[in-house]
Amino acid sequence: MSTTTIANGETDRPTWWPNSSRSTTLYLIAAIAFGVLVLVPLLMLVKASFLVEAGGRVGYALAGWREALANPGVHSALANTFGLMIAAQAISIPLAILLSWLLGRTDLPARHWLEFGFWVSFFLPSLAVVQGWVLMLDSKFGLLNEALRTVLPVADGPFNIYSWWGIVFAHLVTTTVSAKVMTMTPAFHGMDARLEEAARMAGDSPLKTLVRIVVPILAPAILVTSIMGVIRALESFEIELVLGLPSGIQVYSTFIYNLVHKETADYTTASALGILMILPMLALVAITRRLMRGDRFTTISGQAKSELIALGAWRWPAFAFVALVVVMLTLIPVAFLCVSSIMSVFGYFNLDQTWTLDHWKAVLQDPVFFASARSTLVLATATLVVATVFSTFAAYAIVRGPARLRAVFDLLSWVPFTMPGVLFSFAILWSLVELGLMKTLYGSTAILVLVVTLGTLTLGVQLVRTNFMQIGSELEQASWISGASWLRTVLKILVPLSIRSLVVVAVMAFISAARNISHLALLVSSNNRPLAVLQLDYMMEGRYEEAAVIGIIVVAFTVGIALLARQMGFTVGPRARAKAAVVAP
Amino acid sequence: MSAIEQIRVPVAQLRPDRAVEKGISNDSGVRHAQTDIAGALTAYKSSLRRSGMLSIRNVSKSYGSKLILDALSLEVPEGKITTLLGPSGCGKTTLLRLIAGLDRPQQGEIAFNDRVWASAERRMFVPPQKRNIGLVFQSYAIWPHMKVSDQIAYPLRNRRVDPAAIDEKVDRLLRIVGLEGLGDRPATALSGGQQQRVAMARALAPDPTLLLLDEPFSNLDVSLRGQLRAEVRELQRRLGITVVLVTHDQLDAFTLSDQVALMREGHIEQLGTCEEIYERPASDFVRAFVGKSVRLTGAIAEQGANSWVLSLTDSARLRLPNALLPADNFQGNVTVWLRPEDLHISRRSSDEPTMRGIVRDTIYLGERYECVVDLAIGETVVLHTPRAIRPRTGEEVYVTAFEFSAQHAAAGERDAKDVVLGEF
Repeated sequence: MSTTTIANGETDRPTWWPNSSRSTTLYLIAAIAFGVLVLVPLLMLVKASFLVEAGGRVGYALAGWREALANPGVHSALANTFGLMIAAQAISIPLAILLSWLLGRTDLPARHWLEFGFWVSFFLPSLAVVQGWVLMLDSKFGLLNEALRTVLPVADGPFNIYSWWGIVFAHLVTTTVSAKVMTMTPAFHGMDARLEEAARMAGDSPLKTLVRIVVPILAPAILVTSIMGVIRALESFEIELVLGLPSGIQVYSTFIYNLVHKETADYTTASALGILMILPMLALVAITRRLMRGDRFTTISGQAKSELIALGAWRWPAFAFVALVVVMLTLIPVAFLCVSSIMSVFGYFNLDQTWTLDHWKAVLQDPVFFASARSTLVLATATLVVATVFSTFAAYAIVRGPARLRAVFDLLSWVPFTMPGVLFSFAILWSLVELGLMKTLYGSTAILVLVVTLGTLTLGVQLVRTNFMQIGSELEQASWISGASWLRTVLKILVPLSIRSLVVVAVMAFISAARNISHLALLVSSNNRPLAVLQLDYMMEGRYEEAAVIGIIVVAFTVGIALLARQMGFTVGPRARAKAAVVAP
Repeated sequence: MSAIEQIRVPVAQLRPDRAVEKGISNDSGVRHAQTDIAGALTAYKSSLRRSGMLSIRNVSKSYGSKLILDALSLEVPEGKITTLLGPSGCGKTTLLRLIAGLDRPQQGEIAFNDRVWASAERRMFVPPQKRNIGLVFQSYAIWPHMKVSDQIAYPLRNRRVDPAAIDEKVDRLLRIVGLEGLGDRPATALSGGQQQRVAMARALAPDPTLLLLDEPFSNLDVSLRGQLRAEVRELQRRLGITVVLVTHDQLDAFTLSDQVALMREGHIEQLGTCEEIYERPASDFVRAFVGKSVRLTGAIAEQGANSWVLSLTDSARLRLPNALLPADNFQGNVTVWLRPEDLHISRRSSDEPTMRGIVRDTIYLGERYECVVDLAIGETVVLHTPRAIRPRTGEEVYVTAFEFSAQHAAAGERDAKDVVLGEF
């Protein structure tokens, strides 16, 4: 060697260093691992749809597809899925626009509290809310029906929640409206008010201004929210399972669930139906990606905040309307859930002993409950950690990875989004079968953590990515120059600067895991059954009172963690302007 | 502790008295303690000469198909300020990033004090963490979630310096950059100039062997720039550190640099002192970049003992010093480059050779006027006038070059070798 010498093998030491060929290799390995993780379930699903079993021999053919497409059950399941979705969206979108405008742009009394009510509603587990409303709207013993029958000359009803419109109603009171209000209110609130003022100057009434000026300006935000709403609606499972069973209404998710749970499980038809669902999801995801990429969200500016619009004489009627919606979304279902948990028999007020704590005692003394509570806690905590770490690194790879791999990571992060709840559960189950991992992983908590993590991944990644993109790369480079390793830079610079997003992702993952049913439906055994699934099982067995007790405990879990995070100063409430958190499963 | 690691310990920790305590407490035997004292003293001495020389050899870098640096070579001398000067897109920032280790060269080698930092051919690369450099970013890259003192302590904590020594060092640096008592402020609560000082203190904290400055003054207002330039110069002299400065601002370059590398399209157009660059530009590009020059071509009309007359047309003539004469009895056209400060105007014509023109515009610059004159021969010249003389737009004026008598002697000393003359 000439005059130049290499100092102490500095270059030979393995250094994780972005920009080096070694780091490119690591990124490549990570991309492949990520790809395997999200694509294998999808590919297994495709493979399963061609599975044909005849005379004990297994082969692959188009027969499964032919049968699936000819199956009238598949037809009606698809028709119901899209019919229910369209009905719920057609009602909820205009309603949510009106509510968000009232909360974000007008002098509505107590608007911050009302907005918080929608946040609470969003965090309530669907099943608990539905059960609360069943108590009101059951055609026989529903309290509202009983009250109405004292003045109306009908023997049954007039309302029946176990019906097509009952399912639509259940969607509206669970998260369909509250998720939209949560996303759109900040957009309305932060909107540049000058255009609106111009219209008011020109003599338009407030409502006319809303329809002609505000809605068109916020159209992209409203569109994304609506598409997310559609995707969420297609994830729905437990509402249809509980409410659709008595009337025989099936949607694709309950149909797949039943096909798998039949004595001779029909995986081929289930997969084919699943793939039919993935196709529209792909289109919706493509549109969402396109809408979220551009600068279209920049209608939100810090400047030109105008005075709020005075509602005048409409102020208190408007308040009454919004308050009624909030009460219907939160207080009524939770209150009646509580009532039912302390009744001897759900809906019967004239028994010898109407009120009792026996159900609470029974549940709290049941080892099954404790096993489930433990499962929920382990599942939710593990998902919180895994999903947050996973989202952070995936988002980092999208923002700072090698140019050619960024798009790959971004695309892969959207793949889980195309497989809603039960379908995902089925795809993972089938992958376990195909890969010979049933014995090792079925019934384990690890597989539940994996499926919920993948279920929350897309939104988690998008949320963290948006935050990382706002952090100049020079802040990281300054840290490297200061002698900090890559990992230390992530921990000391990037994480503190993104802490709010990360906490939102963590809370979202925890709550999602604590109340999730659809992603877990086909992967749960008695070994790893969390509380939310236990509640569903009790309801399906007709043990409504015990189900109510568990529902209240799940509510306490999810709302509790949201309030705790809020208390810690990480506003997971109306002040956290986090658009992606809204659409968490 | 290896010698190299000892050198990296901040000076505060290397004072001999401290080293004694350290030696005794660390070792059991007295003999060990003594050798340690000797070691620490050696380290202390080396720490005084901790700067070094940077060599860039044949370095190329391209992004996609665009070649940014084209086989560039440069020697940066020890303990001096070297400036990479050039228009935007000339590759100066890319070169700085290669020196810092934020990017890798595709060809060539970068070495510091005979230690290879990056070599494309030998596939060697020392990451920025291990180069022990300081870098002040154009944006300052102040971390918004840290207090001022934490920013400065950060590089020291990364080097696992003893906490007490860190506090002492941070206080000292705050004093040096004039931010005493502001350590507990959130860094975002500071003004632009103060943030620049924080960035400087952070860069200096680990006693870097090389300090890199990327357009450090470009975000500051004019008066603050001047003040900070002086401070950086003073600091560099005191610490004797090797500095590489990137700027597109000629004034930054000239007031700070010992050596200027004027860059153009990925290569160095001219390397030299400020005076060399300004007085003897190596090319038209350099000449155009370092000042507003006007190019005049004509024939030699008459030749005297000290001066000669350049004749552009019959009515437009200029008297120039003999130093700018290519050769006695030179025949043919002569091209002369003149800078604004070489030209003067008067409102009256005289017997002296002049060029007639009309004032197009006058710009008030504070200490003087900048005046744009359209010459009758079609050229446009820019020149400066004192505040007392304010030419009005549209006024007819007469332009002369050099005030003979006063300027004459100085101008006469310059040697001109080429036909292209008059680098003033």
